[in-house]
Amino acid sequence: MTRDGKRPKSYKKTDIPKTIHIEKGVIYFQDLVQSSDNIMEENDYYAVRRPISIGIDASLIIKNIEKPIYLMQDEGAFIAYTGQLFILNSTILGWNEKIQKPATLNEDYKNFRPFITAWNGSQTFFANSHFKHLGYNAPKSYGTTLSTQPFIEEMLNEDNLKAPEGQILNSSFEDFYFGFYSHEADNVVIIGNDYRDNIIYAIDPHDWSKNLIIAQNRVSGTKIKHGIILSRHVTDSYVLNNIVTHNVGSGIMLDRQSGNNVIAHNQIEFNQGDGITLYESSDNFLLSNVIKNNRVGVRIRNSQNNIIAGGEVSLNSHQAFMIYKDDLKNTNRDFKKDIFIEQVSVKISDIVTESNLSLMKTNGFDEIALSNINWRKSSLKKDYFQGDIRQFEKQITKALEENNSIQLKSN
Amino acid sequence: MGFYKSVTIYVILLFIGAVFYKNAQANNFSLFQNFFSDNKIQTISIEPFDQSIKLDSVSLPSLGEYTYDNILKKLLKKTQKNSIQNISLRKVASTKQFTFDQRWQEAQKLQKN
Repeated sequence: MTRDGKRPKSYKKTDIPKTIHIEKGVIYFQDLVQSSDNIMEENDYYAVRRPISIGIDASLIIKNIEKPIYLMQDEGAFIAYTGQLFILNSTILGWNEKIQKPATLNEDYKNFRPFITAWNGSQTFFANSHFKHLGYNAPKSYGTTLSTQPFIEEMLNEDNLKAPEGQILNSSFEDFYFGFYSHEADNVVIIGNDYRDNIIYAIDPHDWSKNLIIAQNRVSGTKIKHGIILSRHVTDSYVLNNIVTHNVGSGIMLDRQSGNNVIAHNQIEFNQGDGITLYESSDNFLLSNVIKNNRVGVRIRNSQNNIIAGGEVSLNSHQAFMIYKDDLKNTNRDFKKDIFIEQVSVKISDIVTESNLSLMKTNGFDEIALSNINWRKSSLKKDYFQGDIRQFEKQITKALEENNSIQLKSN
Repeated sequence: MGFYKSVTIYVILLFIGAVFYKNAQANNFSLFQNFFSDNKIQTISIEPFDQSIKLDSVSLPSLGEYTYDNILKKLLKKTQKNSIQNISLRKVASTKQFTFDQRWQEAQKLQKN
């Protein structure tokens, strides 16, 4: 209700909506409630019925708000900013006020749902908070987005705005279209969060994002694709100590020239796709991950100089390692944007591997080094090699019996 | 007896079929893969590999600085600064589907004006 006791007027499609714009200064959410009829305290919640925008010289602080804050789907509410947004010890939900239920999506996921988007120049700080039912299938409106866009600099008449930065700590994200998405973000830290039952991806740094730390998160129940995916030139980042489980796609994927990343000490189990997938991504270090009960343990396509060392790859329903080349003619990939080399090389070292369907399947490779692997236990049926490497199984197993470390080169 | 024999044979065949199907599915139909796969590699060389990979050769970042308390410190710094507030309700052009980019651009244009 508004302050005069009337129900706020809903937008009609022909109305010109308004945004609550914070241009300058630091403001607490409670002050915003006092100053606007469009953000109201109701009995059980705070209702935000307008978009909130935060200018580059402004900060909004949402801290210790006991009632949940509902961003109203039917009023077109969202939060977007080039300034700073702090959300601490609070709960933010996408909500449909008309039906008094959480904001839902249609089958094509294209109907509007509230979202939070940070542009270049912004800083994001979320901690000890809960987020639910946000994001839909429209550019930069996926849920939590940190994105660089050239038009922001043009409009603000600012040059060289920094890429969006952020810290997202000890919070939960549930029923998002994407739990996290970024485009050219820098120095983003995502630690100790629970990403649960999100729709497409849980954590999706994308397009030239770099210097990220994704650590100690629990990522589970992603409904359509992967748990954590670094895609298109995501570099110089760490994915550490996460528990990634029961996602429909792969547990962790590196895609489209994402390189120089360290994927370490993750527990990746019971994903319907692969444990870790590397597509067209080179020079990554996969260290001491536990990869169990997925489809393929580690799948590597058109990727060079990756190292897989330490940890365990066991009980996967297909191979522990699947390594292959593909010309990608059967994909709809834009080859100008996503260049790749049809080569694959990998070093695999000090891995415990037991009871997979087989140790390895290949379909074309350049170099594979195997060192200190308990290959005899790797396969359920002593069927260690599959694919085009199978024809050399006797020679390879003989060499492994004679020498703990061997390198295979295809000619 | 003939009926029971037939049922038994049928059940055995069904079982064999199920096992074969499950195996074939798991193997990506590997029974036939030598006929149908690209067989991209024709020959390989196998050599001893003497470059050991040190598991401690990668340094991992310290996570200790990323805490709630440190965010609060940043917040405190922010609130101690001059905090003249300027909040307004601005008209923003709408599209039927609340297209965000357009709405944001309009907001910024109005802000400039």
